Amino acid sequence: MTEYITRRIVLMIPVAFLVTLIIFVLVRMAPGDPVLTYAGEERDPEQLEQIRKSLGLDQPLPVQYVLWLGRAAQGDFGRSIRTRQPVGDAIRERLGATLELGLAAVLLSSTISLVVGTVSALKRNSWIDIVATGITLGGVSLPNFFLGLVLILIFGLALRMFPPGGYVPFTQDPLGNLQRLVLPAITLATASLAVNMRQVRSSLLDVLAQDYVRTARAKGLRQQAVIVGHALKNALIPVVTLVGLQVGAVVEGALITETIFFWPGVGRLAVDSIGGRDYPVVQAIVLVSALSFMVTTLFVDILYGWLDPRISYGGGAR
Amino acid sequence: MSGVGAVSSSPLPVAQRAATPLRGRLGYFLRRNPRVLLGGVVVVFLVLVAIFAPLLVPYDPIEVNPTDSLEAPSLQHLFGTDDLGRDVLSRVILGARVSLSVGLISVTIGLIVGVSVGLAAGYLGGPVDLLAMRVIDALLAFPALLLAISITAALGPQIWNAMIAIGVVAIPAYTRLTRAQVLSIREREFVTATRAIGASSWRIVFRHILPNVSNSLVVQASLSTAFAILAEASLSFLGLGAQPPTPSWGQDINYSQRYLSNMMWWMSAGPGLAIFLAVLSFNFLGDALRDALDPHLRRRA
Amino acid sequence: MMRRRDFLTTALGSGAMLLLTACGSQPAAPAKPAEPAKPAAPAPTTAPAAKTESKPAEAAKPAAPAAAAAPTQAAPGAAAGGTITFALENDVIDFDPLRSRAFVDRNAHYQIYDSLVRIDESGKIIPWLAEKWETAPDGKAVTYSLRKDVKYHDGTPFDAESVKWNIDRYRLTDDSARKGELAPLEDVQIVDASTVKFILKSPFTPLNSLLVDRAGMMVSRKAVEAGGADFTRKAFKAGTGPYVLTEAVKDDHITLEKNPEWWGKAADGSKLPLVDKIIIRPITSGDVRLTNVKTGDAQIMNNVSPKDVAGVKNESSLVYQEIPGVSWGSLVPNSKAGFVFEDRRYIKAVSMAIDRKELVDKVFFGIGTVGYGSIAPSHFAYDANFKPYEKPDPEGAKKLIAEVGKGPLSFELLVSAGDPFQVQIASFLQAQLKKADISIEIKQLEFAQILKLQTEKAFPGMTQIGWSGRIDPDPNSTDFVTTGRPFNDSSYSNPEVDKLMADQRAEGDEAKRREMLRKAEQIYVADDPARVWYRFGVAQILMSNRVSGLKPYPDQIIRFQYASIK
Repeated sequence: MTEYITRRIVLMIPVAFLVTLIIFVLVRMAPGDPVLTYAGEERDPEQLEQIRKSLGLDQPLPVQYVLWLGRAAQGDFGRSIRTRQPVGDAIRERLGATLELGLAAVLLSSTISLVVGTVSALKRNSWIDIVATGITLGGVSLPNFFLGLVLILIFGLALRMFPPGGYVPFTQDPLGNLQRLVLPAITLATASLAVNMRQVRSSLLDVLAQDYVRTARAKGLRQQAVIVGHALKNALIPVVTLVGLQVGAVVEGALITETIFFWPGVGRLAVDSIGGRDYPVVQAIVLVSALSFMVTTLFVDILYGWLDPRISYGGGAR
Repeated sequence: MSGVGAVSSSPLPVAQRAATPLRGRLGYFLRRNPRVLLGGVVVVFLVLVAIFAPLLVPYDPIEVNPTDSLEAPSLQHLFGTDDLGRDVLSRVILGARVSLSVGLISVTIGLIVGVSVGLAAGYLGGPVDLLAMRVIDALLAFPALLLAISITAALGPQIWNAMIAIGVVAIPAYTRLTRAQVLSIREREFVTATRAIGASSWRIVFRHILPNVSNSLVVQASLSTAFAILAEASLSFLGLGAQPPTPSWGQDINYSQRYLSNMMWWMSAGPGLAIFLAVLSFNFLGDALRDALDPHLRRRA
Repeated sequence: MMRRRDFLTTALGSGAMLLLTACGSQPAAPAKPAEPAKPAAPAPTTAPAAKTESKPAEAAKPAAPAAAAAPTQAAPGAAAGGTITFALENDVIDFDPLRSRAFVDRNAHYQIYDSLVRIDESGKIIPWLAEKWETAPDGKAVTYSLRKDVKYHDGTPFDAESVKWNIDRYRLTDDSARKGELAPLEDVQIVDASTVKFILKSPFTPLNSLLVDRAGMMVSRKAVEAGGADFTRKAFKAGTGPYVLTEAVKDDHITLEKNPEWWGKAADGSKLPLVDKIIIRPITSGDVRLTNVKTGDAQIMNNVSPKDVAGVKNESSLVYQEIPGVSWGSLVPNSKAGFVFEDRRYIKAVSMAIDRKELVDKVFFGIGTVGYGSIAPSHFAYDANFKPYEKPDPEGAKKLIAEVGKGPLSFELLVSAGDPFQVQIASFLQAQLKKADISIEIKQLEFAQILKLQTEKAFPGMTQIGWSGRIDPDPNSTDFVTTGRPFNDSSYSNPEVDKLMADQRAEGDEAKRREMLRKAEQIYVADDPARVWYRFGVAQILMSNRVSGLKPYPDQIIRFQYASIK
């Protein structure tokens, strides 16, 4: 087991380097000159050169890469070109909002998928099962920005049940914060909900068909006991993998959701920064997302392997 | 996270394909799997709409008509008009071209490159395999949409770059599928035997490896296309895909969302429903194919 | 099991993050409960007190041009107190006028800092920190007499030395954004504690118009030196203005508190400002801003999307005001040798063919005015009868193009990416130009990239770029049409225009100056066009009906010192 972990971690290192390289190259390739964004309405060439020097953009690329990497390792991601704020601060300020949204979405999605998925597996082909399957397919196929806009239109603007966007910090106005959380959380939860529901259902079905479950039933244990006692626990393994991965991918899902709902999170910062050619911010966010995604995946894989030695180490459903 | 991320595995033995003529087999297959038929019909319908779009549009989707702007749906304009006076339904129909071509081309890119890399990595092994899989792992380290956005932003907001970006994001799934297949078959006796006779590597690849993985590839392709269409819509929504005046579903939603607060919903509804329909049909087809082609797969992710 | 651990970790981690963020991003939150929505009911008892109370020091002041307090605004007997929340289109980037380059910054600057001079609602220059000024006969020096009753928020006195320090800082600091504006200035001399002399390199009439804005804003030296590198975000107690900056949380809110020692007064002599607190909330989405004002979470905003204007006029709880502004929209051609628009008759053809009225009516829903040049309706030199292209003339354009004899005209139009509005304008233009057989290809690019291409004079056809506007026609025009100037991205060069623009800068007589400006405009708009202007923008204020005392100014900036809220 330890050997497995060590091997995984060792293999991760070159991958991590490749990731940083990819990010650096991609961001630098982008057309547009960040110096001009920084300069606003300024045109004087001398001034522009000065700005270029102060941003460190006059060095050769490999030097820039090494410098960036070195500083990033210490947590210094430079300053935003658009707002001149230290990037680390900018991300930290917004991380809370994204985590709040992501957590709400994951909780929502997990709870609903567990309940509905279980019922759907137990009562196969009942109307619940059919509706659930329909939602599964539909949820995965509906673009989340469209769903978000529909929710805003119906619940935010037409019915005026929830504010159509914006954010107030929880510490300042808990009710207002939660009110504004509802629609984006539902939007974000929907896609993963669909996938989770299907996973719960199918793995539960798998387990229920297993011999030992049938034996338990034959022995006369009440169905509920059987399920709770054995089937669910084992069926949950692949489900939890999925949930774990989704927690890691929260930033990606939040990208569009935060943009539509004007939720001041990291996802929205990423979208704004990409549009504004804000290299330092984009690099930092993509780096942090990718690395945390990698770490989460590793974590999940290790636990998965530890808990169920039957699963081979090499594959791993993804 | 289905679609690109989900990897289907497990082959069907080659021997099963025997000597039944293709048409007969196809007919039999479709009759036994009606969902595939349904899914297939809808997909074909969408493709036809995309191909014949210019002939199908009731109005010119690109011409600006200031006098007709922002009209609600009516008998003349089933989905109303947008702020430039263009018929929304016509734009949706023409938009199918962009979405479907991006979807299909990017999946083709992913398929060709992914399978090639997978074959090379699996077959050649050693340092090639090591390097290739590290690169694949690096690609998989990024959340899919984030990677697509980054690549498109890097190359420039253009429909071609969106295709490349989504294609790149799709590659890992095919690589893993193919490589797993290669690894499992490579050491089988009949392959060793074939090699002993002196058969070339290409022959082994084409006659033994590819046919075994083709089922999974087909399923994956359908699901990938669904993801690709969704990704294209997302990219366009963020302004990174096709550029105006070319109609594109995601972009049209982006441009019309500001009118929602004025209760002008039809400009977003048309393209949104179109995206939903297209993605749904490819997902449906993919699921149906998976159930049909490999019962073993039904139980896994 | 794993599920519990995963969730536990996530929950703990999120909880920790939330706590950290909450504490980190709102340093003063516990101490100052910011009132975002319902301001405290203004205590009526303070109203009469506010009217009659006046510090003895103020009463003794010589009534320097009473316009110093810009009298026309505060309603007599207006109640004092309360909090107003202002929804601004973007967060303030730089609180220091030295490096500030963004328009949004000025919305905060005007409340915190005073300038040497300011404008009234019609755009006329009025005394402010300078009570009066005198230009030397040769035009190369201007002497300002400063107010003597002014102190900075941190207690340091405002005097001639402070003025010199400020102006020198703007002129001489390496990366100062005010260098270009103050280039005509040679030196600032201290005559006595309340008199300064500006020495110019050559006569420069628009000097005051520059000193109205950031180049003339007075900042406390003590505060700047204490703030160091962080001053740009933490410019607390650094101005002399009606409000003091007390809190600035990035992308969240900015708190401005009333300066009880401000020198300004209402028409009836009562002390200003009236409102206790102004909270600025940056909200980038026009829709969300509007919703906030409608629901009462904010009470005022100054940028209403044209599509929403008709709707807000019908809201009984809101008051909408609008006056012509000084911003303009234009199409910038590349007239450098080797590019399509080298022959400037093509520019004229485009200018003839487009339908400006249709743009204003259809795209801007009637908001704004048709514009042909760079002298805006609120400028003194504006000529309402100057209508060189009153009706679109596609036939005339076709003839002109035929005259050039190089075949049909087609070019690429670069538009700022990610803004559906800009694309809409471009699409309309495309359709209009088609009627004159001119075909354009719309290409979206990042704004910064377009600027880069413009600076390098490397864009192939035209760009669609506007200007936020300045209150004097000079900064609104000169640098765009004079040979070799930094904003002259079209490489336009016309010696007569060069001479006229240089002369008008030095001309002291307003009537003569007006003549020169108009003469030049006739050339660079109609006879030998530099670019294609199509619209002048507006200055708007949308406020809750509880707010009174505010009127829009041509530069779009709100003067909160006159506001009062019920």
